[in-house]
Amino acid sequence: MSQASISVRQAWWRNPWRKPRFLQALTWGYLAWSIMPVLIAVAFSFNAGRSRSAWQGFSFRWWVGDPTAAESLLYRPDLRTAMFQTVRLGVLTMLLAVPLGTLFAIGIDRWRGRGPGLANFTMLLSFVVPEIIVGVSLFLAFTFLLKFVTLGTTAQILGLVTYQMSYPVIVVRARLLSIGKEYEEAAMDLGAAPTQSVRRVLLPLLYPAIFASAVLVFADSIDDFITVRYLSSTASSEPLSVKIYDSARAAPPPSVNAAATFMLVVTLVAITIGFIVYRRVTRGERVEAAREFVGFQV
Amino acid sequence: MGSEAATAVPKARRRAGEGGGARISGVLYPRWYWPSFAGPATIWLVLLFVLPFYVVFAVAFGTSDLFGNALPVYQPWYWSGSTFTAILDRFYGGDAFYQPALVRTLVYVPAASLLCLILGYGVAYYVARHSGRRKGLYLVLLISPFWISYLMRIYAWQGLLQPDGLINRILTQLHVISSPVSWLQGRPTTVVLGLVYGYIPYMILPLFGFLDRIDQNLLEAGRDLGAGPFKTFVRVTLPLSRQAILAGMVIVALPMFGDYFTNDLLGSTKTSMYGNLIDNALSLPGGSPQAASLVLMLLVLLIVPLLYYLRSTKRAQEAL
Amino acid sequence: MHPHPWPMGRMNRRDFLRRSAGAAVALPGAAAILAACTKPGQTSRTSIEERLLANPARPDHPVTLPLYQDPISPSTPIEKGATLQIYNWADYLWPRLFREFEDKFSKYDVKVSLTTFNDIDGGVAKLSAGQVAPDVFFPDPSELTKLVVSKLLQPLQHDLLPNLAANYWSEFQNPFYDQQWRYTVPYTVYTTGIAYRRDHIPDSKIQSMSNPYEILWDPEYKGRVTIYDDRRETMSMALMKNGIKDVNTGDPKLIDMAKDDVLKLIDATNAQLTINGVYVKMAEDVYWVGSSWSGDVVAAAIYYLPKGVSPDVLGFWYPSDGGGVIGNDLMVIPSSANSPRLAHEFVNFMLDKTNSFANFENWNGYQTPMNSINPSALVPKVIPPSLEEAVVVPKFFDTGSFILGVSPSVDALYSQAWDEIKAGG
Repeated sequence: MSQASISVRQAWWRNPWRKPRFLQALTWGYLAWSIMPVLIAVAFSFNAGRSRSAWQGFSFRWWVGDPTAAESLLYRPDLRTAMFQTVRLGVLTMLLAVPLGTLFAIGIDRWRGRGPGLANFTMLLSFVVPEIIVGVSLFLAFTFLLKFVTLGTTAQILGLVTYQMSYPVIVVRARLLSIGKEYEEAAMDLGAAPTQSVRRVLLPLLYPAIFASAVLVFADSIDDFITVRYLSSTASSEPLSVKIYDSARAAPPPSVNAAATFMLVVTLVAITIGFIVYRRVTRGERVEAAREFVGFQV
Repeated sequence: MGSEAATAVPKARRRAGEGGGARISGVLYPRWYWPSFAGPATIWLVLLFVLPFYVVFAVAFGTSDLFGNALPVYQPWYWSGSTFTAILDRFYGGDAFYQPALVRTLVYVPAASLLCLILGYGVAYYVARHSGRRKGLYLVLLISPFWISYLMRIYAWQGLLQPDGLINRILTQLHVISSPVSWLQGRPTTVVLGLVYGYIPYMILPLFGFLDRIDQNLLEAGRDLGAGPFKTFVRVTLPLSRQAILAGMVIVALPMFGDYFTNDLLGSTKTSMYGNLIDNALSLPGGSPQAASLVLMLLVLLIVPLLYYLRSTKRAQEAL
Repeated sequence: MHPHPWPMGRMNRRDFLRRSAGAAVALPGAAAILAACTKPGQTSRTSIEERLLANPARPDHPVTLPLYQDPISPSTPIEKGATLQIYNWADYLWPRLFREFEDKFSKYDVKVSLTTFNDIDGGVAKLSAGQVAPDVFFPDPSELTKLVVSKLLQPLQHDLLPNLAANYWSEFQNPFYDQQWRYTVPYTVYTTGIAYRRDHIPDSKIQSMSNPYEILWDPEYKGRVTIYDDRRETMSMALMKNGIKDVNTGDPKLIDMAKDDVLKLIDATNAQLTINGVYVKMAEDVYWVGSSWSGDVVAAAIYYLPKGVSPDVLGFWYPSDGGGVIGNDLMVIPSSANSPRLAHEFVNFMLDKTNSFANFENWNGYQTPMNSINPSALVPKVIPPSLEEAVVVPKFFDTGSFILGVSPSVDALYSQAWDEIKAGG
């Protein structure tokens, strides 16, 4: 190696703001590792054969093929039911968990005394306790004590909301702490009633956080497996995750991959539309929301 | 909550907010006003989080009928510890056949969490500090695995790792291995990597959120004082991210203790973990008391790290 | 046609006795005090149930299961706009038959929905927890007594099942596990033997072994062995390997030995516990040898082999003296059924010889014990010659070992052994 190239290398090494090649390689390697199976899952939904390890040619067989064979996504009512149940659980959980969690976060932030500490502790506990504990305890509760809750969609939503409520609490509370209270005080100094100051001043300030937590809750609910499986009943209450798990232990046709791919597209479209709507509602705050979304932590 | 550490709110501003707090909650708002905001969620938690735990106790310490179906007992004075102690005996003693699964869990989970941390920190650090104008693209890519079911992704791995799967074919082609490796036949490496794969996004995102908000000036100050990039990292960035690391570790490690599907799809009974014990018990005839006992034991096992974490986040919050 | 084989008078008398006894105890106040004083969990059971559970049915000990309710009236109208809930193993019923059933009853606007379970223990657990409320369920005889005395099943109305008596083997007329066919009708029959890939393991290797079960323990096939993720089935396989023909044994030593042997098997060959190991994964060449239900290997040959692969690659061994494990699956109607009349129609539909044969031939590979199916004519029309030993003949039900119900205490021994196997050594 020549003297010159060594000195170039040293110069690169000495530069404190150089591109960290190693980290760059690590990041790309990680992204490839994390995304490749997704792409493979999508690709195999177009496989001409049943196999999910050997490529047997391109075909739409598992998407729209042959009604009599009843093996394509289009002619598998059970897969459609599963997709519908997935979306339904995601939407209903979001609609319940986000308002409950947001109100809780505001209340806990302002309420003084001993109560909020305990309530907040329980809330955080529900966030960090392994999901299997929540799932099994709710299953036993609905089976033995709260028998009026039938297993199936109702039980699943109650379970999911219990487990997901902490997301909006954490995200909204972080936002509350960063915006402080002076805007509200200013509003009240200008004569706004308490309810008005919450609705007109506080809530709009919280929109980015609420939006971010809604996305989080939705994404996590449609991906949920443990709680929804233990609280499921007959096939109509089994979302795609349970269906995939059961299929993996039986004879999984690539139409399951097609269903997951379809869900991927639906979710992406839903998120994009949500984001556009959100940008219209809160002009200029979109960077904030993105940060809020990825920056959540306990 | 650690978010406070991460959000790095200017102190002066927060103090001002604090000062006004008394006025907000004391003078203009009626006493019940703020508690009523937190009320619905609190009642929800009491009914659907706290009460079910009582049922878990009632089932674990209850009895069974003639067919082995669980009969929960709600009066603590009638509780019987026979199932619980019988299960406990399976963890230690002469016939401790649950012990290997517990030991595996206590090895796999820390190993997988640590790998998540090392890999996740590197990726989060790179994206936060060096991705420049493409940060948005990187973020979308980092989040992308979230949009397809975790089960689907693990299931795709199953296909990739089969004897005739892509991984074996590539490795045979490259002459790394001479005959296909059976990755899915109870290999700890496969299960640990599967866990890392499934949970690492939950590590990267909070770390990124934190690293992205570190004040650039702090780092430049370190540099101005003569510290190299490595030293700056060790002396400034790393200590600052202590709370974020703790949060990330908790978020990934705790659910792993209850994970059973990763092993179900990528391992065998040879790599059974604690979560598998619970899930197996639930599908045995009359297995509810056994499952309930296992759930209580898991809770006891995790209560110390849980409380430590909740306490340290509270401290971090108070320190602000 | 069956007249009501059960005397209605007895039902009424017992009902009456129970009610009057209840009235005597249920004095207001006293009952509350009693409830507070007795330790919870001690429910009284009539001795009939206890005796039934302790002495489950055996071929030489036929059992007439007790009745707790009347079968539905034959004149019950067909439920309109109902969704018939089927609760079955995965891939065990041809989906096209569901569509045909829907078409047949289209004027009643009927839908069929299938919920699956992964193993029979899980299926029974979900049913008894009330997690599912199916109209038709597919258990096997080993769970039957427990299901009946737990009042989870309803008696069948034979007037609505004309296909039953008309079509079935005499061995299955009035079966010993359910005299008078009060609760069950047969769905399929099968043997449990060893399936293998003939392209990796020559027939001669298995034929020459003095104890072919031992091939599953052979480390030569490390990573290529599958056994069933099914408690009683896998324990039976290990008992058989040790020459124990009584696969319902209650001897703790034998159960322990079988468990140790299964653990040794997993240790030596890294065997996977699966349900789809044979019919899906052996067809895909993932596994080369495994414990197998006869129907699974036939299904692999007729449906799951990749295109262009000859069914000759699959082989099946079953003891030539017919002394292996045999079994049959059942159709029952749970007491929770929302559409009992439609459930009867579905059972009768599946008992139809055309439908039953179509299900076997096109989809699940499991024979039905029907007179219309001549076992000796199945090869090579339905079953490839290499799988000749997978054909089930009536004789096996005299020579083979049936997995049947065991008393609760013995059941607990099997459960604990299985739990240990699943926890991994």
